Amino acid sequence: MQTKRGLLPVLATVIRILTWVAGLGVLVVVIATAGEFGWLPGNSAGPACVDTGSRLACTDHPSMAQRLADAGDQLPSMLFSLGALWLLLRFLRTAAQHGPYASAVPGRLAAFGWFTLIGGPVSSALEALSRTSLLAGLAPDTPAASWIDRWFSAFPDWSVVAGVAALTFAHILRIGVGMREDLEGTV
Amino acid sequence: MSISVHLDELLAARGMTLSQLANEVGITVVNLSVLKNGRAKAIRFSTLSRLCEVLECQPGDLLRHRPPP
Repeated sequence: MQTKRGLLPVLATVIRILTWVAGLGVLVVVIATAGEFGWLPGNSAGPACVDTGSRLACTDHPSMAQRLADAGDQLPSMLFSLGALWLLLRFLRTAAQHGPYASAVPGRLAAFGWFTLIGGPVSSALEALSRTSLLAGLAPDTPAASWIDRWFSAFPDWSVVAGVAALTFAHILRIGVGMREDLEGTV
Repeated sequence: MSISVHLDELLAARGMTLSQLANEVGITVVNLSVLKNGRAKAIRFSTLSRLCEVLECQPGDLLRHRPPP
């Protein structure tokens, strides 16, 4: 049965471009992080820094834990964005190629929904943990705040809302797929 | 499914082919084949009515309910 694709191919193209841009961004950050770790040839280990709000606290000889915390301050949200964009692209590409009521479409939208619902808060928690750990090591004089306070203050509400919305639409789409299958079997 | 379609028997009794019936009823051979092979999930009253008109039969001659064992 033919179904209208509408803007789906256009949306898929836009998201494909955004995914490539995000992928390149992650690649740049990963290479920069590897450089800071001193893993790249001809590159010595760099300092680890954290913004205290009033100044930039750095150490030239960070421990491995401080290096990991420094990387964990920015990598999780970038990886989360890349993953979410890729899952969104997978969903849109399938819907554009096989129609919005193809049997694989609801599962792909649900995968995006679960990833966004769980991945957003988890990446935000990892960043809060890393920042708290770095601040405790590099700027012990700054007012102490627990990682949970930091997490709640930067909690990604949008990611939870987007995840729940995607899961709801996936459920509605699943019903639509069943209706389409019934309709195809109607003589 | 516990509903069986007896289109084969009716066609044989009337000496008709599937494509002749499809032409007279006004549906595609593919759809009629889906019905004949028991792959249909539903049948419209309009289709059933046209089939009964052309085959000069009652819906019960075409469809039978067989309760699962």
